[in-house]
Amino acid sequence: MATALNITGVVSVGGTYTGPTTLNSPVQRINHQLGNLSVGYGTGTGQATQLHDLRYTAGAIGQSVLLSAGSSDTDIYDDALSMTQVKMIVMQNLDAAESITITGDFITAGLGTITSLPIHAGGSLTFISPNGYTVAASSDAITHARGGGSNVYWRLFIVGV
Amino acid sequence: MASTATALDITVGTNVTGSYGKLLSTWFNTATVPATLGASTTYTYGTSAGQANFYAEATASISGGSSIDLYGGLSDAFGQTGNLTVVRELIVVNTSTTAGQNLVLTGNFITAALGTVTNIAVQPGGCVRFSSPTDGYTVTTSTQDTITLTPSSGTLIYKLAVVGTM
Repeated sequence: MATALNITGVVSVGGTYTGPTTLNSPVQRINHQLGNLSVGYGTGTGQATQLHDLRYTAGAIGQSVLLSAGSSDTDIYDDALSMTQVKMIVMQNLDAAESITITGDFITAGLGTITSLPIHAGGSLTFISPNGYTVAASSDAITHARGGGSNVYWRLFIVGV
Repeated sequence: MASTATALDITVGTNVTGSYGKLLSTWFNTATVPATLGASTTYTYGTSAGQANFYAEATASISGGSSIDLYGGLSDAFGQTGNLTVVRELIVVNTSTTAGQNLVLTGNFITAALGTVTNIAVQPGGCVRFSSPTDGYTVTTSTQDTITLTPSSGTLIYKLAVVGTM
């Protein structure tokens, strides 16, 4: 089991947005940190103990990543995932043309009430919760399948307890 | 509708930095690997893939269901009404610090455009981001254009940002 973790995740929006010429083209300057998670090692609020960061291939047949105890999926140190909470999850489609579809009982029950989520070509989904989305042994699966005719590389990044 | 915006250069990103380590008892030292991720897109002005011509942000204190209409119900900083046809970025933040006080997202844009969804929970202090820089999430007036934000209890303040085209 890992013994050290120090991770900061930020969802931000920045840049400029220029108004109509009829208003003399005023400029809105944007610089927001809308989501922010900073965790150290531990099991409390603002803490986490496990990181899973891996690229997968989504194929025609759905395949699952299991987050809870008994999982054969592991972290970088080859320790089995045994999460009870997810503090941050980023699912990033690395393909420029094809979408993928994400299902599985962690997605459908853990993040809300969801049947499926597509991740469009080049797109990503981010969920941050300092208190943690609950992972139960009975709802710990993230299942992925390609949306189109070609296999799709995608990245699953999870910080959990 | 007011005149449209004339330029846009906006970067939206999810970025992670950090490290992840394990004490290796055999060698009595700690192995550490970097924990990094960058999922960012810079949008220029236009309506093609990777482009947008509308940006708006909203924040409000709500104690019951509050709806935002992406086709005619959201204005930008210049008072321009967004009749959006595509959303490329949607970010929603729940600023509550009360445990268990979720911000529940429903409405026909959430339930149909983002996937097959009944609701999405934004937990206290949390944030969700939906990014589709190439295809975008389709907005259809009346049938796929509403985001409804509802506290699971009490009163909370939400923040929302949208990048899209119209």
